[in-house]
Parts: sequence; structure tokens; C-alpha cells
Amino acid sequence: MLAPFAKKPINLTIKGITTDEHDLSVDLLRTVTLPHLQLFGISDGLELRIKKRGAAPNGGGEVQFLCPIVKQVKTLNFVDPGKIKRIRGIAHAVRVNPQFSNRMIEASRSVLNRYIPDIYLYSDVYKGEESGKSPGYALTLLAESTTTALHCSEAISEPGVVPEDIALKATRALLSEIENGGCVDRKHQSLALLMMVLGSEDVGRCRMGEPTLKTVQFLRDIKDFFATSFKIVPADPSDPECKQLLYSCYGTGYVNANRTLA
Amino acid sequence: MDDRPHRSHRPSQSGAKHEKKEKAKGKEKKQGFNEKAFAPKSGRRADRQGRRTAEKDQTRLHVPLVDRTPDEDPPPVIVAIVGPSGVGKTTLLKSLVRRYTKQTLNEAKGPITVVSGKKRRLTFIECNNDLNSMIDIGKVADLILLMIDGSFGFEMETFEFLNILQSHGFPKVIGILSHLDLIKKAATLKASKKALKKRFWTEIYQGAKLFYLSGVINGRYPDTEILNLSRFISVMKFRPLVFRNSHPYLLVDRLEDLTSRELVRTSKGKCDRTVTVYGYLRGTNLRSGSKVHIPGVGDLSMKSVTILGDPCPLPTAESEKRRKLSEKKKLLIHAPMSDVGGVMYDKDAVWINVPGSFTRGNTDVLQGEGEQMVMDLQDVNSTLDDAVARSQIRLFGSSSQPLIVGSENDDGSEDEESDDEEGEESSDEGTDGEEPDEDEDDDWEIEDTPAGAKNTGRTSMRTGVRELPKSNGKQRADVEYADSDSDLGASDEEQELGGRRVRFGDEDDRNIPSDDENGISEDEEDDDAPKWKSKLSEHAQQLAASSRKAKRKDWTKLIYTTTLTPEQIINGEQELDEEGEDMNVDDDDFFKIKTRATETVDILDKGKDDIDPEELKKWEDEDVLDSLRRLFITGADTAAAEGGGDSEGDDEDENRDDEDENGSGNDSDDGGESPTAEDPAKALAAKKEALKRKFDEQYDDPESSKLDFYQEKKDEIAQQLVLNRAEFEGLDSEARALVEGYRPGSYLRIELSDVPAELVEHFDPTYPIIVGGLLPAEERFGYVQVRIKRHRWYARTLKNNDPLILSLGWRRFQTLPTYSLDDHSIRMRMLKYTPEHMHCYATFYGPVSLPNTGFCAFNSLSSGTPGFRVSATGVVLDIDRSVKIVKKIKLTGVPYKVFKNTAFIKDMFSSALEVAKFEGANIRTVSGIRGQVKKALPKPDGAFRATFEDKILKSDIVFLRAWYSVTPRKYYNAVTSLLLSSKSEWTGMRLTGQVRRDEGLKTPLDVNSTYKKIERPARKFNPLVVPKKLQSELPYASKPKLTAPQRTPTYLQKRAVVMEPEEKKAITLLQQIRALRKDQVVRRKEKKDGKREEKKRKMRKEEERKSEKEKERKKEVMRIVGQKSRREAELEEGHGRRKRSKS
Repeated sequence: MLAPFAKKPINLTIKGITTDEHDLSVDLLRTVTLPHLQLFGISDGLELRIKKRGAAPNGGGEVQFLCPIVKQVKTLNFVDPGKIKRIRGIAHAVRVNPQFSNRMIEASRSVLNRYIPDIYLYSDVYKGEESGKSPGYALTLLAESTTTALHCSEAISEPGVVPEDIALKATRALLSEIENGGCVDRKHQSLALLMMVLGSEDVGRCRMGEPTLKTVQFLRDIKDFFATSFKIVPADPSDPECKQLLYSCYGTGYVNANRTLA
Repeated sequence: MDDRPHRSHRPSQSGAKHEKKEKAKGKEKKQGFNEKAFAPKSGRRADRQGRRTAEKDQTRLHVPLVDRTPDEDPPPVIVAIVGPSGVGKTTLLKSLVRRYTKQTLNEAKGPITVVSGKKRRLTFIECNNDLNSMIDIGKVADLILLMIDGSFGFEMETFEFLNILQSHGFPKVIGILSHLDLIKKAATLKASKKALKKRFWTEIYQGAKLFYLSGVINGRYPDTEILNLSRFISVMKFRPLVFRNSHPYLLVDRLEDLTSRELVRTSKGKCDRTVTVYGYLRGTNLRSGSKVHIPGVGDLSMKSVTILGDPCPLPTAESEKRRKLSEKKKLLIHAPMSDVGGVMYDKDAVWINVPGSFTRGNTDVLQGEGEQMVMDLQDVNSTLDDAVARSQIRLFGSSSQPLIVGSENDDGSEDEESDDEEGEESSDEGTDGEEPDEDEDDDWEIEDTPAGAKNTGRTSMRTGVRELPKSNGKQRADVEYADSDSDLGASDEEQELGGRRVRFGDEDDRNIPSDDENGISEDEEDDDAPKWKSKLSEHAQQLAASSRKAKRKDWTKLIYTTTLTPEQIINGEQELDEEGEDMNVDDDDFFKIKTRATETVDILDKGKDDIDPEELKKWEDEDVLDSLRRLFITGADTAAAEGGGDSEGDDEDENRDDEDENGSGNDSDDGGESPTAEDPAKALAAKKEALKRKFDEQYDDPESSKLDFYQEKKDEIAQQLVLNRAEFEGLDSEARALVEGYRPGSYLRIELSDVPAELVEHFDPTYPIIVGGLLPAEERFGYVQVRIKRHRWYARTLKNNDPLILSLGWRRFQTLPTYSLDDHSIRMRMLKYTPEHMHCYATFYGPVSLPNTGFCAFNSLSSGTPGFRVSATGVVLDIDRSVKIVKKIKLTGVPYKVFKNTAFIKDMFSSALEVAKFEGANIRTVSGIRGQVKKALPKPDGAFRATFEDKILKSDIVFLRAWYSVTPRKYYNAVTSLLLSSKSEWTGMRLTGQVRRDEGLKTPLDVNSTYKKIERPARKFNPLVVPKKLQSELPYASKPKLTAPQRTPTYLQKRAVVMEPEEKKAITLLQQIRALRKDQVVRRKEKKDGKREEKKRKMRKEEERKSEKEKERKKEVMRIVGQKSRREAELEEGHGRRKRSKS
């Protein structure tokens, strides 16, 4: 969230756990969070390279994060969620049987195949030095719509649970995410909202699902910090059952003052 | 007559006329079809023409900028009248005001807002000749009427002002030549007009508008000329300026001091004041949380912001129908600092002009009602406090004992200040548990507190507080709905009353004086309160319950205005809403906080939420899975989806979105078929249309359909503006202010706290006050790197670390810049002086402002400074200085022992540690022998061993070139010119020399700094003495050969020479030739000298003629200068005269 407003482009190497049950895994950061930033004009040279993976207890993963700087983020006007046109996924396994990832893919496909033919689930097995210190496997899924709205989910290995169940968990989470709708994934609501507030002094609009706990608190924090609040109205006033909301705000016109000129 | 139709024209069908017409028709046609007419004759010309048009096209283009001024109700355009003193600014202002409003102002001070057209208002402001005012005005004015004395020409201030404008974004400028009537001869007039115009054009742009004003009639300029000028003003278009388009700002047209009189009295007027300023908001939206800067005062924080009713509104739709502005609207003028309508506001009183002679106690002159009231007010001896203390209040008609005013009342105004709405509100919340929900609260407030009811308690008018007649009162009614937790309205109310308000609301049972401070006992209030409150809350709950059923969650309200925790909001505890809140209120506040704290401790800071397994269970059901099909491109409306995922299909889908939500599986199929079933023909048409579009896209010229980049950008901006306008259209003003801040064009009242007392005390309406909003980044302080260039008209160079006054962003401040230059991209090298005709970098400590902001610099702002005062201009490059500035330092040492290529060197460092740091550093002797520092020596401290490329002399000096990093000094001093009683005499930090001169001190003379005569004695070499014993042992070759000088003349000297006759002859001949030659040279020289003399004489003559001319020229110049000074003196006298006549 801060990197685009630094003085110089960031080139950051981070070591540690790349996938755990609390935070978004690096796969999601790479495939979902970064595209979300691209909506705001932060695109050239934005990259996350996964060099090594590290599963939960001991970690040992390594990622390299490259982020350009921008003068000002673009105003978002994203109200058309579109329709899901493809589903991608990464099943990775470190220090476990590589077959696990294939089993996850199989299980996930069994549910998803009914919707759309354009499903590619990659099996990504890291070996040796690159596989970190602890065993583990996980499945991350993302669905992309015709208007490039992204929805994602993931599930990671738990002791005593077969990979098929993990895959089903991830798949169902993705479905509920899709059902929740909107243009921005639930996990990235606060990111999108922050970038909207930081945009130029124009009205930014975004259609999203209902706010999560975190988002509600985040909205309040934004009000304290930027003295700006969002207008939140149902996306479709004519329809009483519509649960999606239209978030609109007037950007604060934040300009990256740290950027050096010439 | 009118209703009868005219007979139609019947052209002749035959005859001469017909033939003639026919002929002409053919000819015309022929002419029209001449394809050679505009074709270029030569290829070269065609090329040139083409290039010319292309160039013209390109010059037309400007960088597309967003214009953020709202279309409806834009703020008034600021028209500033600028020029040197005595040029006729005030006369022009009065003439213009008269032209627009038909009112004659005696004293035109401060901004004057008038309505100039159906869509435009103008704010006129006169800028005095002070440089500070010129800077401030240059930053806010949209249009500048630059007045130039036609009979005198341009003055230095004009050029200074233009340069200030240039660095802060150039607003539109119209030049106005006045005093043209002083030039009597027509030819001179024409010539001077031409000369001035030429100069003006070079300064602004070729073809800049220049107006000519002839003489003054009735204290005004001729009406026709003013009319023409006003026409030009009214059609003026303005290009948005970048800085103003990113900052909100106000030109203050009214200023009031709200500090309680008691506080001012006890602190003898020295306490920090609370001040309200009023003005139209311009630029961008103002958010209430941000800080503001008032140039000349400093950074201030806004305590509250209120939108007031427009004191000078644009004509409404009703009068819009007319083509012209109605006469009534024409009379609108808003100029609180001037004397419009006989009422004049100055800094702490209202003056009412009463016609005729008026003295107090003059009973024989009949007094009007108003005058009587004012005099009564003046007669009041006791303050309101006393009156309250004396009065007895009975709560009910039946109660026998009057309330006793407690002793707490002693400490004056502060008690009563909290005596109004807020006090009541808070006490209510604190004591009763039945506080209704927010919106009900609102309703109650609105009906309870009309503006009139509140003012009933007022018995006497304070001298210090003034209110604008209508606008405030009217405004109160529609502003005062703020709910209790946003203290906007309440505090506003509080200030407005200024702490002298007591309410005697005993006839209405709603107006219970629930003020504990005044000594009303608690139980009395408790007895009373439930009567209405219980009813209200019941009613409220009913209302709420009924409305909640129908309405869905209002997220905005839930998130921003309730105290619910996020968990409660998400879990949909709207039913619990009121109870929850009630319980919260009932509970001890401390207890509540505690529980919440324990809750939050347990929650881990997570990036993703846990997946609820229960929720996922539903996906095991096939029906539920199928219900989601519609969200995929393959799922729903197949016809539309196959056409490429068209937007129409999507739209239809979204509409159905929510019917499907229930989870009935067959819905999707149903939805897919419905449009085709309804209207197959329509669908087919749509499909055809899409196909056609696709075809067109593919086969048509791609260039023709594509807009050029410029147009594209412009369209983008326009679209965004439309969206901006549309998005918050329906919202009420409070919510709008919450979401997007206060919009430009609204008339705001901003309350500023902790304002220096001097601003109020030394308030002068002729000096503009500007409230400039600051961006969050601009509140910070830090090092700023700028690109700077000394102004070519500034006479001196700028010295490093000399104080410089900068005008950057809204601010004016003095700081100490360190100049530097990029040295081969390796380092930033400090400069002692700014280079000539070249940009350099400067780094200073000061308020951060965005890169690319322009600034101008001054060494002194005082009017007494001779010459051009703008000393430099530049632009901000970088904030938070990341480049180090270094200066060169040379360490010197001397060798004390020299070996072959190695030498021991001392006196360069003082310890071995220092040497260790410089090991391997390059050193050099003065003669150019290079070497390296090797290692420290133990013996003399700081000595080291060094190697060189050659043997060095012991007399050589060895030096080491190093770079020493310099930090600019942290000095920032805001130019607080508005706080001074004489505003133009601000002095900042002075130079040391100046301080010495002012204090009459002598420069201390260091003994080591005095120059002494350098004595370089000739080197004396002692003779080499070899001991005799040694000499004797030496071989002959090595023996010193010392011989005594010859005493007797030698043979050669002694002998006489006798020459042969031939030899003699030859020598004589030679002598003769030499003599002849000598004579020739002498004669030649004489001749040459004569010629030189003649030339000199000629030159002298020439010189004399030239000096004569020079003298003449000087005389002319002095004459002009004398004229000017005489005129100025006259003016001064004239001013004095005028002032006297005014008072």
C-alpha cells in the first residue's frame, strides 16, 4: 500500500513464510493483489517473484517484490462486474508428495468444470533448496470476469485432512466469493478503498459486496485519517434483494510529494 | 395587416430578366466549381502552407487541465486592480462598482463582490503598493487590471509584479493606461501609447489587451470607457491554474473576533484570539480536517466550517428567463469592509452613518427609533451578568420559590457560554437513559430550535459582536440540524452568541433550562423531563421499528454515525441497534471500553478472514451450485454471451441478479430465454447492429474513427467531471460536506482558533487576507531542493547562506538557502555565490511543497529598497533532500623526513585514528607529485607514512583533497506582515554587516586576518669552507681553487694599440655611417611625435563633443526624475487632503 508512494522504485526481498492460514499467500498477492493495483495505474514494473516457498511453521521462503512509483493514482470507476470468463489456479506442494497437487486439481475440477471450460490449474512443485523448511501444500484459485474483476480464494494444508478436501474447501470458498459478487474481491476491499481515497479530486466508484469486519473498521479509520467518508448505496436500488453495494468517494488528491522531479 | 400572408414571389418564366438570371446562374455555378481556386500553385508553397497550418494547430493546443470550478454557482471571479500609487486604482474601482451596482462608495476597502451577469459574479479588490500584498493578490486573482501611468510609463513595481505572477501561475492580465489626459500633444500621446504597448506586449504576450483611460470626470473615469472595460471583463475566459486547481482558498471579505471580551480584558488584549473569517471558497473542495495558512500570519487550524447563505447570490431561475440582468439584481453588492449603505464594519465596531449633524443628548433633533435603541444600549451600565444575578427565575407558575442563582456564576462568561444547546444536549445524554436514536434526535432538534426562539433571551447588544443583518439569521435555520455528536452546529451557536446568552424559556414547556451550572437542582429536572421525553422516545421507537422493516441497511449511517462495533454491523444487529445503544448509554462508559478492549486483544491481525465451514456446506448441494451458473459467460443468456460477452447481456443479467439470489435453480434458464421469447425481432436487430459495428471497426479506416490524443484526454476529463457532478447530486448538503468536503462557490464561515492577537488589533482592510488550504503533505517541514536562477534584473549576486525571503505555495518566509551545482553527476558541490545567467540548485529548510511548484525570492520586501526586488525565481525539484551537498576541503601537511619515494608527513592530522580513516587516500604535492597515505606513525601524533611517484622535496607542501558535507541551516521565519501595525515594515533576519551598521558596531578585527607586508629576503648562500687539513689531502681536481683577485693591471690592459692607416680608415667610415643612422632615427622620431600630437588634439576635440551630448542626456533624465518626485509629493499632499476631507 505504501510502495507506490515512495521516493524511488522499490526492490524488496522478503524471507519467511510464504503461505499460512492467516494472511494472503504470495500466490494470491501475485495474481490478485497486484492486478488490483493495476486498476489504479500502478502497472509498469510491478512484480512479485517467488524464489523459494516456505510453508507455515519454519518458513524459509523468499520473494522479491518490485514496485514502481507513481505521481498520483488513477481514479477508479469500476461498476460493471461482468461475468466470469476464466478460472485459474495454482496448486503447490513443498516437501510433500508432488502427487498431492494433482489430486487437489482433480478435486477442484470436479466442481468447477460444470461452469466454464476455460480452467487452468497449474501444479507447482518446488524442490530442494527452493522448497523451504517445512512441508505443506495449498490451492489458490482465482476467477476473472469479462471486465477483469477478480475473485480469489485459497485453502492450505491441514494435518489429517486429505488434499481433496482442501481443494473442495478452496473451490467452495471461491464460489461463495463469486456469489458475493462485485468488482473487487472481499479480501481486497480495503486496498481498493484506500486507493480510491488517495485518488485525484474526482469521484471514484466501485461496486463491491458487503463490507467485511475489517473493511468497516477500515472505513472508520479512513474517516479519522483523511476526513473523508464513502457514500455507500445499494448497487441496484430497484432490486430489494441486491446485496451488492456501490462505494463512491471523492478522492483526496494525494500527490506523491516525495517523487523527485527531473 | 400582419395576419394576412404575403404573396409569394413568382420568378419570371420567360423574357429578358429570365434569360439574365439563367445566365447568372450558370456563371455562379461555374465559379463554384473552380477547383483551381485554392490549390497552391507551386509545390514549395504547398509545403510551406501545410507546415504553417500544422504549426497553427499545434500552438492552439494546451495541456488539458481539469477545471474544478463548478458550473452552477461558481465562486465570484477575483478581479484585482494593481498598480503603483497614484495611478488611479481607487478611482477605477469606484467607477467599476458604480457601473455594476449604481452605488458610489466613499471608501472602497477590502473585497467588493457584485453580480455582473446571470452567470457571473465579480469580486473586486484593490491591491496597494506593498510587495507583500502584491504577492498575495498574485496568488489568488483570476484577472488583473494592471494600471500603468500613461504619462510616466512603467515603474519598477509593475515589472516586479509581473515577475511574481510568472512564478505563481500567470492569471489573465489586462493593462490599463491612465493619466493620458496629462499628455497634451497628440503626437506625443500616440508615440507614448505605442511605446508602452510594445513594452507591455513583450512582457505579457503579443497582442495582450491594453486599455486607455482618459481623464477623470466627477471623480470617475468616463462611463463609456468603463462600460467597454466591463464588457471585456464579462467575456473573459479563464484557464485553470495548476496550483489553484489543487488547493482550496478563500479571499476573506469579513473578519470577526469571537474571543470572549473578558479574556481579552484580563490578558490586556494579548491572548490568542478565536477569529471567524468569511469568504467564497475557491479552488478545490475544502475538507474540514485540513489545516490552512494565512499568508502574513501563519499556519492555523480550522475549528469549524459552516456554509452560510450567499450574501450576494446569483439571479435565480425565475429571473433567468429574462435576457438581461434585472435592475434589482444589479444593486446587489457585498462589501463588508467598505461603507455600502451607510453601514461600515471595522475591526471592532459597526459605524452607522447618520445624515445631518448628530450629537448625543441633542433632544431638539427628532430621533428615529433605531437611533433611540442604539442610545439606550449605550446607556446600559450593568452587564448582563449582573442583570441575571439580580433576576429571579421561577420555573413554573405554581412554584413558590424562585430559583437562586448560585455562586458559581461569578466566573463570568464561560459559564453561560455552555448554557445553550450543547450544554443541554450533553447533560441530557449523561443523565437520562432514554436518549432516542440519532435521527429522531435530529427531528426533535429541528422543531425545537428555530432561530427566532433562541434569540429571545437577548436583552442587550454587545458592542464587539456584529452580525450581518439577514444572512446569518436565515442561515441558522437551515444549518442547525447537526446531530449532537458532530459538534458543528452546537459550537457554532455557542460562538455566535459570544457567551452572553441566557435563556428565559418559561412559557414553553420544552424549553426547560436544564443548566446545572445555574443551580437548578437535579430532582426538579428529573420530575420534569419524563413528561415529554418518555413520549418522544416511545414514539421514536415505534417509528424506527416501522421504518426499519421497510428499509434495508443504511451502510453509510451504520458505519459513520453509530457506535456499533464492526462485528455488530456485519452480523446485522439492526434490531439490537437501539437497545444496544441504549445499553451503552446506560452502562458506565468506562466499563464498555474495557470490554471492547479485551475483545480486540484476542483478534489476530490477519490478511484474510477465516472460511466458515458452515457456509461452505451449502455448496455441496447441486442446486446451489447450479444457481451460480448465471455468473459465468457460459451460463446464462447464451445468445448474448456468444456474441462476445456484450454489455447488454451483462446488464440484463445484473438486473436479474437478485431474483436469482434465492437459489432457485431454474431461474437462470428462465432468464436466458425471456428476452428472445419476448421480442425475437428486436434481438435480431441488436445482433445485426453489433455485427455491423464489428465490420465497420475492421474494415473502415482506423484513423478516421480514432480521436487524437488531445481530444481523447479532453473527453476523459469531461466525462469525469460529469460523473463528479452526477454522483452526489441527490445528497443533502451535510452528507455532501461529509463525503466530498465544502464545494467551491459556497460562502463559508471558518472559525480559526489561536490566532495571534495582532491580526485583529492591527487589522487593516486594505491589506488582503487569504486563507489558503494546505494539502496534508504541505503541513510538514523539511529540506527542500529547488532549481533557482538569479533574476537578471537583480543587481547583485546571491551569496550562500544569506537570508532570502521566498514566496512558495501560499507561504512567504525567510530562510537560509545553500546553493549548489551538480559536479559531473558525482556530487553536489556547494557554491559560494549563485552563478551568472545560469540555474543552480538551492537547498533550504522550510515547509514542504509539491515538486514543480514555482516560487520567487526577495532579499528585502521593504519599499525603501532601491532597484528591482525580485532576486531569484525557480521551481521545487525535490523534498526531503536526499542529495548531500559537499564542499571542498584541503588538508595540508609537510614532510619531515624524505626517503627515496617515501616520506613521513606531519601536521595533516591530529591523531592516528584520523589517519586510519584516510588510509589509501590520494595526496599530492604543490608541484604535482601524486602519492598515497599509507599508515600512521607512532611518534608525532597524526604523522603518517606516505609514498609518492617521485622523490619529493622537504620544502614541498603536501595536501589531501577531501569533501566535507554541508547541511543547510534549519532556519524558517514566516513573514508575518499582517501582524504588524505598519504592514510594509517587516524585517526578518539581517545580515551581520547590516546588524553592525544598524547598531553602530565596528567589525572586530582578528589579528591573524590583518594583512602584513610580505618580506621575502634574498637567499644568502654562505661560502663553502673546506678545512685546510682536508684540502691538503684532497687530490688536485677536488681542491677548491680559490685565487686572490688581481691587483696589478694585466698585460692586455697595459699595452697601447697603434692602427694601420687602412684599419683607421675603415673604422672612421663605420663611425660616420653610425652617426648618419642616428641622425635619421632622431628625425624620424620627431616626425612621428608630431603626428601623434595632432591625433591627440583631434581626439580631444571629439571627446569634448561627446561629453556635451552626454551632459544633455543626463539633464533630460534628471528632469524626468524631478517631475516624478514632484508629482509624488503632490500626490502625498493630495492624499492628505483627501483623507482630511473624508474624516
